[in-house]
Amino acid sequence: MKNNMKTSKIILAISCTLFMAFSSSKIEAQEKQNARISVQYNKIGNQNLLKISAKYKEDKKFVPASDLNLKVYKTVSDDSTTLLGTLKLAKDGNGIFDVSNAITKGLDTISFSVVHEASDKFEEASNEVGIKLANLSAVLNLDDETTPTIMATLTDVNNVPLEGVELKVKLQRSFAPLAIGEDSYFTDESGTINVPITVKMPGLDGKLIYEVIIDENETYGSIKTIIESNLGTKIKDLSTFDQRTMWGPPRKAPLVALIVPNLLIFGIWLTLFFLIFNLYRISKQKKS
Amino acid sequence: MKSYEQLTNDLAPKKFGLYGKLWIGFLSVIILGAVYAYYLQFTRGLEITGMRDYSLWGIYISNFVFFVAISLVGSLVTAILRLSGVTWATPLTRISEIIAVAAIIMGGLTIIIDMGRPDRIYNLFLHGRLQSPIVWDVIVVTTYLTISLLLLFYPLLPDFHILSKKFKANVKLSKIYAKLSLNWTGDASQTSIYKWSIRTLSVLIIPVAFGIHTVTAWLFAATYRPGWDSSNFGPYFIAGAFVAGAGGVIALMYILRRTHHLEEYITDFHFDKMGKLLVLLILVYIYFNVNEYLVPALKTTEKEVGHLKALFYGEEAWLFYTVILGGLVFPAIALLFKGMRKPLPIFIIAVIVVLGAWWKRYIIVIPTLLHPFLPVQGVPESWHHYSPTHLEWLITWGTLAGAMLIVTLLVRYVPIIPIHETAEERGIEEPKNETNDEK
Amino acid sequence: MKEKDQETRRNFISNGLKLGLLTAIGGVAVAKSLNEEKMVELMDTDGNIIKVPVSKVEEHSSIKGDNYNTREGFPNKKFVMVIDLARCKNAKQCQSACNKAHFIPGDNAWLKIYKMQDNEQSAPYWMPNLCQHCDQPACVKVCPVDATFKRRDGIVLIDNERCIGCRFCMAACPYSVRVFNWSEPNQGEVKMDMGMDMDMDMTHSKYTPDYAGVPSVRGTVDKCDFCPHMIAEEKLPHCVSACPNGVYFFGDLYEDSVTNGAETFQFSKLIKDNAGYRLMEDLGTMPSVYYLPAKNRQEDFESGLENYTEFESVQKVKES
Repeated sequence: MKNNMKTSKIILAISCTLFMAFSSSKIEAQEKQNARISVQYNKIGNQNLLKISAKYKEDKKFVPASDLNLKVYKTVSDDSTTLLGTLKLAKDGNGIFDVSNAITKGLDTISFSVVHEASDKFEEASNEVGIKLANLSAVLNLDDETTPTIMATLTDVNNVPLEGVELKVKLQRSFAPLAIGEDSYFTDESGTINVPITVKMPGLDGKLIYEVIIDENETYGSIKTIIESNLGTKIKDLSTFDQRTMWGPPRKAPLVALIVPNLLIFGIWLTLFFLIFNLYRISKQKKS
Repeated sequence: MKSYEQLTNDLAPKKFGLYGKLWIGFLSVIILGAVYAYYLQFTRGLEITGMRDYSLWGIYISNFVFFVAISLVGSLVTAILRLSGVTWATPLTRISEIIAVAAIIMGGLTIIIDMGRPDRIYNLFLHGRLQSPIVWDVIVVTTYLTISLLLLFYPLLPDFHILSKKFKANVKLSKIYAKLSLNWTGDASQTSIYKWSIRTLSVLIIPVAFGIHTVTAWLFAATYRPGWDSSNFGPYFIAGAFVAGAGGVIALMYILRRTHHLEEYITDFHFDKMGKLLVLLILVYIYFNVNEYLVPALKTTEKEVGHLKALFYGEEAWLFYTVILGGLVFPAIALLFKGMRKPLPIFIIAVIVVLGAWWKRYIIVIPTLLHPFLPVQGVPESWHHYSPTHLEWLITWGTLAGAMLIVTLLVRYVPIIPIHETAEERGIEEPKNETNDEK
Repeated sequence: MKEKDQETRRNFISNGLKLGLLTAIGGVAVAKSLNEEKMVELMDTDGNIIKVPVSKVEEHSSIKGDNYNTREGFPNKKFVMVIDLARCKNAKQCQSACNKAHFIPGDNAWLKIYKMQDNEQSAPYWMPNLCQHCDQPACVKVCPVDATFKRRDGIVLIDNERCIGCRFCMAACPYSVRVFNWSEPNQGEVKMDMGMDMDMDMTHSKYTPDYAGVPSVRGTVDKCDFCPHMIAEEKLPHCVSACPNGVYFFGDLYEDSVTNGAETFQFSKLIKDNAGYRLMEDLGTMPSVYYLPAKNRQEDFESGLENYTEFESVQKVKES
């Protein structure tokens, strides 16, 4: 009887351990971490976005924080705060929240805050960003045939030009955009910059997409406006993929490499088969 | 003048004596060991060899080149000598073809042994690229093997017929010989097909033989590497192949002459002639070696000079000099003396030539790989050198034993010297009443 | 007698139930771990993260286009790399990042930084060397089974399911960039030791030459693949992003633009202004990798010596 009790206890202990071990994928740490949240305002065309990322320190290194329950609020000039929504970050600690609906007509400045309420893993954390809203428009000026020009104008929500703001012009490319013209331009009293395009760049089907950007400005955030153009020089396929080459696949071998060996093989093996056939002929000879 | 029956008795294959059986046993032990070693390689990978990323080809490849080289003797003795009307070589034709067949079969196996994924060999047929020298090599090796087999088989037809009658007592054996002889009777129509076929094969084998060793040479010459990047390589390899093959024939004809008491058929005259032929072939090969090693030394091309320095003064220098001086120069000089062309001395020299030929191919393959264009950095120190492992040697010995086993088995059942052709040459008529078997 | 029978029966039943319970729990645990469908994290249109089983996700990348096949590559692109030897200090972050990302199992890294000196008078310099993805590749020419191939976008890849391990490509390559898997690659342990997130390669449930080394195959050849698996996500190859000194530039020749992540240059101007060259140009291989001379060095050569390991290029994780 005593043995039975002991066995029962052991089995129960093993069962419980197994159950706990397999029902959760991780054994969670009990110590609370301090997450750092960063918020950036990005306007791309007509889309208004918040780029949010979070990280925390683990073993003296920063690691992305993704297990956060984030709430996004907006605060307008009359100090009223509205909850806009919630957000869960991706595994790499980054997330994007669309605030286009939050920007109502006539709004001049706006402030966004991202808050994480205390959870099992993280202490309470928050960050915010305040923005003066602005509109960046850009056009391609083709008056001068030899030198096209990009003209960009920056105004606030009341169409008042904004002077002395740093703008950059870039050409969209595969991995990173290429700077066009000077490192930076500053808007004049009419809020405008004029950038001549002097370098001929190639583009797929002649298409080139330029961007005029305000890059992480303290007041205005980041704004990007896109101009599509047909200024690109045509691209030529320089690869030998469609040609017959010695480094091509079997069916794209040079004709000489196909014809000569096959002729030799064919000729020699035809003879060999005939010689083998001769053996058969010899064996079938009737006795004279 | 011998009678037909005496001739047949002399030349017919004989059963294994004690030594024969011990020999087969010895070969089998080596082969079994090699099979086990290959099993280890097949399951664990080529890491069991001494090859690594720089010495990416090793003795498997040099062994393969050796086999291809020595197989050319079939075309040399059987075809070239025969076509040029050199009748003294007739007793040696069968030996040459046997060596050729055995060598090319083991050569094909050796190259499969070197593959990292032999289980995917069918990819050669499904996805083969005619632009690749390896694909050319596969094609010529297969073609050459077929021609060699035919060139071995055809002259055997009359001999099988003779043997089928000789071994009448052993009914099973007699029947097999009879079947193999394809109803040979020696009548006019058969003989004309036979003669035409052998002549065609002899003509065909020469370009294919040149092809096989030229293509094998191009496996190296198609790369940029100093030591390999030479327009000389095709002819250089072929010249070397004839040397190795001639040496092989001399060695084997001496051994078989003793084991089968063929002194009346393979005479001092034959050794003398083969000796003179071997000297000529070695001198031609030395000429190619001079071109291959001296010409780059006359220039200052950095990589070429680096390669030569390694051969002349480096780690492998001792082997280089042994092979060139011991394996080529010494035999050539020695064989100029008639006394050295007697059977026993020439046998020893022939063995030295064959050994030298095997190590010459090592010298061709490995040193170049250890001196690439960019410095050898970022890999373990041992990777700067190449040393074949015991298992690698065992597998290589296994292939050599395999070749010798094929030779031994063929010699057991096939006349070493063509009975029919010898009878023809000596004017010994086949007795008429033997052909009509009415019993 | 009867009592003993009863006790035996009771024991049998009770033990049987306990054993049954154990087995059931064990079985559930095993079943769960076997059936645990790998999940992908995606963002829905409201910006929320949701988890979706892998089987429901179809990989579609805009850079791949509609008819992507690994033998032809990314449409309308031709990749080039520029290595600025003036900046290289032998930090070897590129090598560690590449080794990690491709789970390189052997003793030979695919990307090695060579100690070079062109002649006695000129200064020594550090030269990163990787597959040059030649436009007239010696390796592709000699492959008997079409296992290594040249794509339209310039990248040369290896199909490790077709390679027969003849190593002719390794003999042909003058840049010594190909390595061989002489034994069974022990990538499982390596993956876990290097702390790689096992989920990262879950989208590659089917082998593709686009992600070399995942997995490495015994008896076949491996080499730098120019990271098509990263390009598909519009990210730069690992070596390019890992370099702390901005040595590597990568881009599309047809866009005439290369970037190291921080700086972007017009490719043709960069090569022209800095006298860019290619390795062993006279062999006619036409590499896709250009080098900028080791001129006006920011730091001298000696500073890289402390990192130099002549006999090691893949750091082995030490057995604990």
